[in-house]
Amino acid sequence: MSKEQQLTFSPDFKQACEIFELDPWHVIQQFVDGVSLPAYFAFPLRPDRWPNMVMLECVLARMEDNGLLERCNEFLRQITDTLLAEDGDKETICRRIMDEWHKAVLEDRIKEVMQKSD
Amino acid sequence: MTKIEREFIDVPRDFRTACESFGIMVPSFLQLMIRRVSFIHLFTEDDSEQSLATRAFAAAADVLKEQQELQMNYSLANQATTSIPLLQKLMKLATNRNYSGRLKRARSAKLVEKLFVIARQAMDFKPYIFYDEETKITLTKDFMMLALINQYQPILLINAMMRGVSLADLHARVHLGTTEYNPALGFYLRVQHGYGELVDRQHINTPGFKNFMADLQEFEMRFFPVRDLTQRTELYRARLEENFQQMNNVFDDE
Repeated sequence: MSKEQQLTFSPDFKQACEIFELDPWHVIQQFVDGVSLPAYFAFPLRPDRWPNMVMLECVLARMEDNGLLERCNEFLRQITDTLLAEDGDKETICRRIMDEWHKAVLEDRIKEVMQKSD
Repeated sequence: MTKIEREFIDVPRDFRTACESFGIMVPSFLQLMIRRVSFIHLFTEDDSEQSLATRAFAAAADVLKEQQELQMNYSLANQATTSIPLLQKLMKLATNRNYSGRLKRARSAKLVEKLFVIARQAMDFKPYIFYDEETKITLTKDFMMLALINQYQPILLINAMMRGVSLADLHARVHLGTTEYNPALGFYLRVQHGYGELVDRQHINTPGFKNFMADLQEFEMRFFPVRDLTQRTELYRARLEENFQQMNNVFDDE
C-alpha cells in the first residue's frame, strides 16, 4: 500500500461521502487539482479558490514555528512586487517565481543533507 | 505625520470605517470614551474600560508632542502650591492596594473636581464641543483635566486619539504578528464586542455586513505574500474601503 493510500477518513467525511454517493478519492483529487498558489495570488476572488485557502491555512500554521519566513522573504517580496504592479501576466510571473523558489528550497535541502552526512 | 486639525472634529477615514462598519455612531463612541476617562488612571492601570480610555488620550497627547506648535502656551506654576497636595492625595489613592479600581475612581472624583477648579484658573475650556451643527459632545472634568495638564485643546486630543483606531492596521498587524499596545484600539474592540451597547444589532444582521466580515476573514490568506506592514495595511485599507462602500449600498437597497 502506498503512502497516499494510508489516508485516514474521518467518520464525518465518510458519512458525507456515503450520503451523497461521492467517491472519497475523487473528492480528494478535486482538492488537489484545485491547489495552485500562483493562480490564487493572481486571482484571489475566483470561485474555485477554496482549496488554496485550505492549503494556505496549513502554510500559515507552519510559518509560526520555524525560520521558514526569513528564507522565503526574497521570493515573497518578488511575488508582492508582481501583485502590486499595474500590468503583466501576474499568474505566469508568480508561477515562474514559485518555480525558482521551489528549486532554491530543494537545493537547500540537498545541502543540509550533505552537511549532516559529513 | 499629517497635520492634526485643531478647529473641528476631523474623523479619519479609518476610524469612520471601523465604527460605521459595525453600526457604531462616531459621536456616540466619542461621548462614551470621554465619559470613561478617569484622571486617576494616569497613575494606576487595570483592565477596565476607564483605564483604556484614559491611556488612549494620554497616548494621543504623546503623539501630539511630535508637533510642538500644537501645544498651548500657558503656565500652571501659579497653581502648583494649591494643586500639589491634591495630586499627592491622588497618587496615594492610586497606589492604595486595599481599594478596587471602581472605588479608586469613585474616590478620585472629588479630588479631580478640586484640582480642576484650581487648574482652570490658568486655562478654561468650554465643557462641550460640537461634533456637527446638531450634535454636542459633553466634556467631563476628568477629560478636561487631562487636556489641561497636557496643555492641548480637547479637540486635538480627540483628533489624535482617533488616528489610533484602524481596522486595516489592526488586522495587518495581527496577521503579520506585529501587534503593539494600543489602548484606543483596545477600547474600540471592547465597544465592538458589545461594551456600551453602541453596536447596531439590526445592522450586523444585514447581508452587507455579513459579506464584509466574510471577505475580511480571507485577508490573511489572500494577501499572504505581502510581508511588509505598510504595504499590507494599504492593501487592507483599500479593500476594506471598497467593502464598506458596497455594504452601504446593500444596506441602502433594503
